[in-house]
Amino acid sequence: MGGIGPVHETLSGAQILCRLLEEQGVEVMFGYPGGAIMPLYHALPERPGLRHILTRHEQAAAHAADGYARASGRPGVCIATSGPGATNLVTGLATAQMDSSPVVAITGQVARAFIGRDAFQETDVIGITLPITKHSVVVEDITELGPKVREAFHIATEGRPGPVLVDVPKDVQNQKAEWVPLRGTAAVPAADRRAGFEAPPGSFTEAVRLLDQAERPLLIVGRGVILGNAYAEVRALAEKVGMPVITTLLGISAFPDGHPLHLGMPGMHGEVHVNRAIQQADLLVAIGMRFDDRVTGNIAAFAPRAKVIHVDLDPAEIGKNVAVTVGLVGQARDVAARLAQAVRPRDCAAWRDEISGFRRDRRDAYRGDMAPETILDRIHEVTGGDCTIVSDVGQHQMWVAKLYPYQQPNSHITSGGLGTMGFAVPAAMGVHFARPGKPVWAISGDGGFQMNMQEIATMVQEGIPVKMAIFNNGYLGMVRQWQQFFHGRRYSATPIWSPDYVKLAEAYGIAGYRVQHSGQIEAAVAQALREPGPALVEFLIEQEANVFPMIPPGGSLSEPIESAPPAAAPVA
Amino acid sequence: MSQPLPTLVLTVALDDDLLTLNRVVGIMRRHNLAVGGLAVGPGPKGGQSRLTCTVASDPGAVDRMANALRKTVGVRDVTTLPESACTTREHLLLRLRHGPSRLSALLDVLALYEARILEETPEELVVEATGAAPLLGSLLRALEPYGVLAQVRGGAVVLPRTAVAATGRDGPPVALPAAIPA
Ligand SMILES: Cc1ncc(C[n+]2csc(CCOP(=O)(O)OP(=O)(O)O)c2C)c(N)n1
Repeated sequence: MGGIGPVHETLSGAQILCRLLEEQGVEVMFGYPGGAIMPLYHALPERPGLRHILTRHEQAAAHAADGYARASGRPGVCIATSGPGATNLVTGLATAQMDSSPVVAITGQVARAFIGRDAFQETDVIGITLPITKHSVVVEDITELGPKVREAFHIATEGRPGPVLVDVPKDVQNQKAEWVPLRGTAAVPAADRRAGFEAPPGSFTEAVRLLDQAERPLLIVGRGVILGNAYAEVRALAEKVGMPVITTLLGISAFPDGHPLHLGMPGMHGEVHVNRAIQQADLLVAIGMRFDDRVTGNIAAFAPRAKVIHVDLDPAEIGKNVAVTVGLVGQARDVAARLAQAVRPRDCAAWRDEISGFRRDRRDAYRGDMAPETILDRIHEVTGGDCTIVSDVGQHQMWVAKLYPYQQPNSHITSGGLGTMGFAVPAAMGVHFARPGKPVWAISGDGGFQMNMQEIATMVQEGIPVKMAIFNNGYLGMVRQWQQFFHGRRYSATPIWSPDYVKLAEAYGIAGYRVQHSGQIEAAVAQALREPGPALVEFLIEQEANVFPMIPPGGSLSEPIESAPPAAAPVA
Repeated sequence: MSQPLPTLVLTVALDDDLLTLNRVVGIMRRHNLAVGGLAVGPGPKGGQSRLTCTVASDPGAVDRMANALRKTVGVRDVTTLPESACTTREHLLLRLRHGPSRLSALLDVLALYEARILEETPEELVVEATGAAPLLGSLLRALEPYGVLAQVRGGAVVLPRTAVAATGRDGPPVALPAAIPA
């Protein structure tokens, strides 16, 4: 009675789960209820600090959690019931896994006694998600709930982040136990149950020597720099050496656009001068990137003159795709800072001049009155650059990556590794919760938008003021472009019909605008921004606009396609 | 003709639970290398299992698979070694038919391969043999004329020959760095 010790409460598994989420600092989660997760939903209203957003599809819940995680750097949480609820999360988890995003998914499972009997809505969600999560666990008893949930959050965020799934049988949610909070600031019992790695080749001093000797050094920056918050250190390194900087698709906004050292994005749709710089470089310093095949093109012909220093937090990345001269395992921030301190200062002027000579005027590549560049310029002007751009997948994604001038760190969010159409709209909802009060634009094609446009209802119900831009070209544009280039213009299953988006907006009770010529862009964007709630702007763009340049799949970075093939090209 | 692929021996120490085993096998399946003779048994430490297999593949590909395993929660140690650096043994159990007329010839074959008789009836023998895969293959061929009624073969278990090889590492293990707080 009124003792000094902590008051212990006896709670249900579901209530303990809520306490654990609070303990982990969760403020918002995205989910969808159902039979096997009902106890958790029963407990949720008791904890008003845990805001729950009811999405219209579990895939959207996973993407929203991912968007939240990417924008905040904290784990994003999504919840689903067993069976179809859990399987609907799959694409979102795979998306988070490929882009190293710390998502914690909580799924209900049928009661333990029913497991293995093909019970109603039983699926082996652990088996299904094993290869697309960083880790996954089943909570087999309420006594495991605390350790396993804490470990899940720990694993999701430590080292290279990634999604973790926690499967909780319904009867475990209903079991009773004493709630024992973590004492004080005691960290998670981080028994790191993993093997050690072989030391990567080379050493720090060797890296410094290579950097000091290189005549044509090039810095390639990936998402690891954003995850590791290494902006200043990476910039200091680049500036000390006068080393030009390339940002991969997921590294965009890790280095300010417009900085004299910034070249742009490499790879399949990289500008000619960026890819040529790679091909001419004698040293690549890659930080927090993983030499994806969309970056390298034909590996055998990639950067033929360059030695490679690869800095990554994940030792398994070193040497995975390209041969590495020196691998440095560590935090991007630490390694970049140490390198910046150790290298000799210079300006690589001759090398930068050489790269300037590779530059092409890109304006011709974006035709028409409603050129993507014009639209993106206006969005940038009207928002003053103070917004987060979340893109979907396709041609518009490449335009958004290459043509919008990102100044603020981590202001560009996209599904890079998995390339998940339908990502932008739900992910943007998550970004909103990470950055309340800041504008968020979800930019999609007419294909990808139709994959998750049901989420407008979520935005309306929950008051989520995401601005949605649709680049409507009447096609699954990126696939159509491949058909035009490599399949003799056989537009098989790529023309795509859209509803009247303005009327769609009206049906959901939100503002909607259709922009048909460039004179209307600014007003529509400004009005959408002024709307207190969500708003939608459809841009009717040229139907057969293409993304140039393009390295054909499997081709060398040295051989870009810079114009469309003649109309009568034979079927490849 | 391309060079024959080298055979490497992969040894994985893992937490002793089916989910971790599932994870390990899932990664091996995904990497889709020619995995031969998978053996799982108790590991060196309590609560751990040891999985051993041979992989005939390009060493770079084996390395990628080994690195993916090293990142897996519950995998405690991964080593890859050339088969030539290891002692490899498989275990074979056989049920054989023997007739009185052929028994002594059969016993000669078994003696040659140091196979041991475990059970004996007037018509049948149950026999065990151990050895590296080629030896057991040769024993089976030698027994063909006698009629092998049933056989069970365990995957190879492998022991590195020297202490140095046992770590399988070029240098000290690299600790996974801790995350920077956001
Ligand atoms: C879920 C999913 N399905 C299919 C694809 C293959 N794909 C890549 S880009 C693309 C076309 C996208 O069309 P749209 O959304 O209209 O954008 P656009 O390319 O026209 O800008 C398709 C179908 C994908 N990336 N994701």
